[in-house]
Amino acid sequence: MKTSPASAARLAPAATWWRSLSRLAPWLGWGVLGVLVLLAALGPLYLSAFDLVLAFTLFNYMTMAQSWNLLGGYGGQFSLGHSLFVGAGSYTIAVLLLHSGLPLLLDLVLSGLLAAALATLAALLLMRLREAYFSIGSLGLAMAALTWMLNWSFTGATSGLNLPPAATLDYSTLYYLALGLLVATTLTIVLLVRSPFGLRLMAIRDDQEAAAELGVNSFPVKLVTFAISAFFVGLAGGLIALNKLEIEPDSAFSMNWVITMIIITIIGGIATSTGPLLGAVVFFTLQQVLQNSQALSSLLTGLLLILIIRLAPEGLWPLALKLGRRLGEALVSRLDRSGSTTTATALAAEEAVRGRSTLSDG
Amino acid sequence: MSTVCKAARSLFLMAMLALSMVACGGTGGSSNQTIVIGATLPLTGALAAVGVLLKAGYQAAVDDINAAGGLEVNGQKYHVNLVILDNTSDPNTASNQATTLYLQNNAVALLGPFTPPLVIPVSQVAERVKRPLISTTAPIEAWLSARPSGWQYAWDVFFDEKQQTSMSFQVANMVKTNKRVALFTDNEEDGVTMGKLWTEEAPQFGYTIAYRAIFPVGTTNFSSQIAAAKAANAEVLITQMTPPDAMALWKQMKALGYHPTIAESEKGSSTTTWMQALGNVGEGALIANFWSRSFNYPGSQELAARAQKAGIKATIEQAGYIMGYSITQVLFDAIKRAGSTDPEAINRAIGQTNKTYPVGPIHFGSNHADPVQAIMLQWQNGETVQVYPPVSGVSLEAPAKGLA
Amino acid sequence: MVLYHLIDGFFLGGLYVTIALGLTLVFGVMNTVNLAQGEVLIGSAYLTYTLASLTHLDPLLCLLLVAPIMFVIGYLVQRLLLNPLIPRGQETLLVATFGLLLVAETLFGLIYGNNTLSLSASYTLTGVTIFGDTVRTIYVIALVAALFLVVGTHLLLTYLPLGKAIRAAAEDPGAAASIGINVPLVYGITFGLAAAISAVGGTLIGLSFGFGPTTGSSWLLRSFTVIVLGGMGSLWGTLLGGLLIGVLEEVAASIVGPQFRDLIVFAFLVIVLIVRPEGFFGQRVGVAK
Repeated sequence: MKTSPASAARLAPAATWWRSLSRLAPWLGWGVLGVLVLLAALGPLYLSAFDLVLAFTLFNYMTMAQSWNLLGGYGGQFSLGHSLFVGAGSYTIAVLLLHSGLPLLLDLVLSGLLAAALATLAALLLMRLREAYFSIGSLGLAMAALTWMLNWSFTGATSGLNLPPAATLDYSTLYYLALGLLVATTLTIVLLVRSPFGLRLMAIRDDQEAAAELGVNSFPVKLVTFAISAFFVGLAGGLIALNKLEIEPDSAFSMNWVITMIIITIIGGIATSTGPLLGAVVFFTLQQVLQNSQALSSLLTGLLLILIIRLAPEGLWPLALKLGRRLGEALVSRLDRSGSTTTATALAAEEAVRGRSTLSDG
Repeated sequence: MSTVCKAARSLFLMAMLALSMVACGGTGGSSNQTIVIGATLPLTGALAAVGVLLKAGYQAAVDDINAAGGLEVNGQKYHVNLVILDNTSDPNTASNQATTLYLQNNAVALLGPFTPPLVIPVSQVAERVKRPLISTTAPIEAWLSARPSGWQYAWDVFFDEKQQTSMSFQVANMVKTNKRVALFTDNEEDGVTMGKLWTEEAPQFGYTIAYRAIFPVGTTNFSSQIAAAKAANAEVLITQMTPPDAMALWKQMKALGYHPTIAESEKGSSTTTWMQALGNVGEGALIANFWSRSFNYPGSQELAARAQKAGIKATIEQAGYIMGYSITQVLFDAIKRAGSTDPEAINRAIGQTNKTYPVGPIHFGSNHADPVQAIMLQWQNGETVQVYPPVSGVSLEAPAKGLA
Repeated sequence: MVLYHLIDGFFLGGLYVTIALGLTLVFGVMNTVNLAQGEVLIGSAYLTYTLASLTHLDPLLCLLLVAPIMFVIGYLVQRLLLNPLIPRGQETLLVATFGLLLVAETLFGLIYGNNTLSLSASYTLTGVTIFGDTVRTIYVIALVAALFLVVGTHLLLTYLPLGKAIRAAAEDPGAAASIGINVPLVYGITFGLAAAISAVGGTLIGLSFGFGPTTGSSWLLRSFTVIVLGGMGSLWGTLLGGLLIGVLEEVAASIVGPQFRDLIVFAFLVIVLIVRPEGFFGQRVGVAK
């Protein structure tokens, strides 16, 4: 932000236009956000039952990827064990509905809390581990949990549990629950990573020793992050069980859940808060469009993953931002040139634009 | 402020994507002249081998009715559109796809997938959307226990496990053994249910469970268990396990020199891959089924010939094809009887089914299940032949040839 | 009976060594956790299957051709995909090898179908009597192969110039490059070598058990347990880890019941990681990074 009012006055018209646009952008974005939330909130009025189911699944993908991203992206703890929390959430709500007689919403919250409690335990065990050791350890825990559930007769072992038919919710209720969870998850995570807590988390991720020298104690930070991440995943697991009405270990604790979270986050952009949302849309669209040829679908997903990690490892969302900025810059410099201004002004304009963009980047 | 800016700006692209999704999301739906039925089947993944047989059976029945000018409902002929999706043998996908078929493709009814882990979640979807589903391959007790309050829209045509497990001992009675049984089951739901039943029934037939092994799906090394079965001197071997595990077990029994007189391989030997993977070692394995060439129900021999032409050669595989064909016909008859495409009316009409189909007579009980008669087949010379109830010209080979 | 579990587990452990060795090499030298190790194994089994059905040669003989093919594939994967990602850290490599896993799994299904296949040879159906108990001949072959592979790799790393280059690159890629070692090339060769070794493991899996497009992941988990126990990246640790896991699995399964076999293995994996992340035996091939 080094443009003084005096230098701004000398800018070419195009650059001024671009600058005012980028100044307006946040407000534009807020407008769009408002419209989107309104549109989503009114969903059941104009969406068919099937659209509601689609949206329900999409919202859950977004929630789970967003939560994984908190630990895996912002926290740098590449968990391969998050399926554990989906399963824990699903089973908690099923057990409570069958045995407790508590109201459904409370059951749902408890399913998130149990997942968080499990995550705290897991964190106590695993947090000493770094990098690949943590990944393998979390995978081992999740697999151990799966094999335990396959043998635990209280939860029906391999046959699993069937929710009481009375727990059947209609599609618009499920839709609102998933939407509410998504909004809550996203808000929590967006605020969290921009708080001092989030800064500490990222400092630990980037260099744990350096952070320790600055007096940041990594353990509680990681522990809380793990618990929050698992809490939201557990809630999503509870919702999934409410939709499916029938759960068994192999699908509730399926490795596919964590795989999906990772794919979505990587495609969209790891350690960004919009990335998982965008990634979920891309992944889900691919899945739906190729419903008829599953082989092609997973082949393309795999190739997309390899391409992205090789060519744009930061993911699609940062890539889109970068491209957008380049485009803007190119436009500005071309318009400026045609308006026969000096290169110096164009450069100044570019500088201004870049300063602005980097500020709202990250 | 920058937080806010970023979050807000981020949403712009999301909005564009959401809009494009809405724009692209085609609407399924059916014209006046078309009636849609659907199926989510395991066409890839672990259960694919049988998924493709059911698909062929469903498709053949639909092709036949369309060739005959369509399905006649209340004086009007409807073209039948069968929509099949591949659930990759994954229960979560099967559940999602069933929802898609009912709500997006507007299917009036669904035909079932394969085995309880897939049939049960799809049945739950049927109950949720209140449209009918006719399934097979889900053993009745396991299927019924998944919804203690009773199924309203889901129907099942398959064995009753109790009759099937009793049959194992009736077959063993056909030859002389020491009546000591080694029982191997995996911990999947059918393995658990049937393992329990075999254990309960054995004493009633004068058999002892001399050794019992339970293990997770995907177990590879069975040396210890085989040694134990050998040490227990068990001459009757009963197994209920997935094809890969069963094949591993058979190879290892051969290598370690365990020679049971009777060797039953439920689930494991249910397709020709059994013989392809094991060669001669697979000979003599027993497996329960619901149809064989000795059955002369109307149309069944013709269907078997058609299946043969389509490359489905073993009797046990043709049975899957014929079952698929038959339950599709059950659905067609119900739609005709209902005189409308209203799912409620169709559901009621399914309950009134009482007719002999190529696979045999079908008539549902008040619990929505139709138990079919189980028979025992044996792999002999690369083909499955009926050995129980006994038919002329075929005899039970014992001791099991491949393991001898 | 306990003796039997010990003996059987010991020989089975030999098989585990052959499947985990490739993972050890790749982790020890490149600091890469190869999530596609299961697919390297199963892919080799498929290749052997194709070759054996075309030529009717013995599957183990087919390895003479399959191992070089796997070497080339491994070399190319490392040079074209993984090398450029190394500076970006371990997570990036996890994702990349995970992408390979997805693609390979799908390709197997498309090419070979979904049925379980198995490799046949006369010695898969025979047993050998050891201390009065019968052990499968193929397990004995696997243990011999494991010993050969571990000793062979050790000799290569210790005495050959290539081995010295590999160790130098593993210890400090920057320093290695400064004394004229072509580090990207050495990495490529190492991954190729790991893939060729895994070809032996994969073919042994195909002979001993069966395999399908999605069997790879369960072998990946077994391999993880082996190398975690042995100390990730340690050659001799892998040998001891493999044998120990084999014995542990069999003995534990006989005590608490085979249905808990996987639970024991995974719990053991986690416990070892927590108690002693560096494993119990030996040290890494080199300390990468």
